[in-house]
Amino acid sequence: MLTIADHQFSSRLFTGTGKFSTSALMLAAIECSGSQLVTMAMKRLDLKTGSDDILQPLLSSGVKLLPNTSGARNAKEAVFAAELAREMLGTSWIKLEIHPDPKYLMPDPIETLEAAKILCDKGFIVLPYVHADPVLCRRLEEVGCAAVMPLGSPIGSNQGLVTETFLKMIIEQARVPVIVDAGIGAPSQATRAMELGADAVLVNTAIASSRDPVAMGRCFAAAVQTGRDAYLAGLGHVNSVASQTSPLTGFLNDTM
Amino acid sequence: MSHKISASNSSETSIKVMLNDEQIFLSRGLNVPGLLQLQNIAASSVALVRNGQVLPKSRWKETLCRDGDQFEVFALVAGG
Repeated sequence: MLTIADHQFSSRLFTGTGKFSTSALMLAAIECSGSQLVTMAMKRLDLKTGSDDILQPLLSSGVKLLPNTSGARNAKEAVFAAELAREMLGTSWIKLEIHPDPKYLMPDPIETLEAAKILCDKGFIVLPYVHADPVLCRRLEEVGCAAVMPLGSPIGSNQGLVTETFLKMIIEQARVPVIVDAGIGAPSQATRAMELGADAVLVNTAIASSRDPVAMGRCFAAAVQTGRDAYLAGLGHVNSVASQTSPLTGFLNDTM
Repeated sequence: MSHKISASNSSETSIKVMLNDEQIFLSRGLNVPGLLQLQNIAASSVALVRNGQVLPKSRWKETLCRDGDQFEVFALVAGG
């Protein structure tokens, strides 16, 4: 079981709700993924079109909702968004994300740390989305974040674990759960993240933009479990030279 | 900030508020749940900002809409 703050999760696959072609497909894919923590964004309600009306079905499905601060460009806006989310859902959990740059959506480390300090002081359970920066992750842990969410590669890019070297450092040093978020594009990459010792992964685009999101949700569930099992079983060492797996006794030349 | 009410709507019982940039004329004395109901907004799934401050749900009932109030309603949407 994975414990974050006071909550236990039997699934280590967290999911997002964006980019699905229909709400029904999103709900079905999340259900098949087995995900128990699902992130959602907030925006001003369009009075003409109303809301997406996905909240009630998600709440009914029993998943824990993780509102995010997507759209916030600085610490002040993120704190405001977190307070809105707390009012809206009655939850103090918040995925803190501040990415003012629209092209690469790189998280702003300075604003994120500042917002994390304020939100932790206000009693929020803060899960910050950050670049795979071991120093920053340590600082976020020190100000009281419940987990850290370093990126594998840019949001929605499906490029996989471009930051693998740094993810290893973060995992090695962290005393809070490490959730690899963003960029995981294939189940094999989720397996890899889990093999490295990540506590969980968050996947959205790879599931939502696949040809069959329901099937892909299931694939990711299996991949995450496999990676976790492999981590627990302990991967063998990587060697630069060959190491025989059969006895090299030269039996063809030996006499019986 | 105060808003002038147009002649046709100006009366002692009518006030004007802004709701997500739309002008809305209301009867004086309407509370926040009343405003949301009038706009067919499901109160259970939104958060409300009044004049730049988050208005806690616990205070909605006791909060009466005042002339010139600026409300913003936020809802959850799909997103990663």
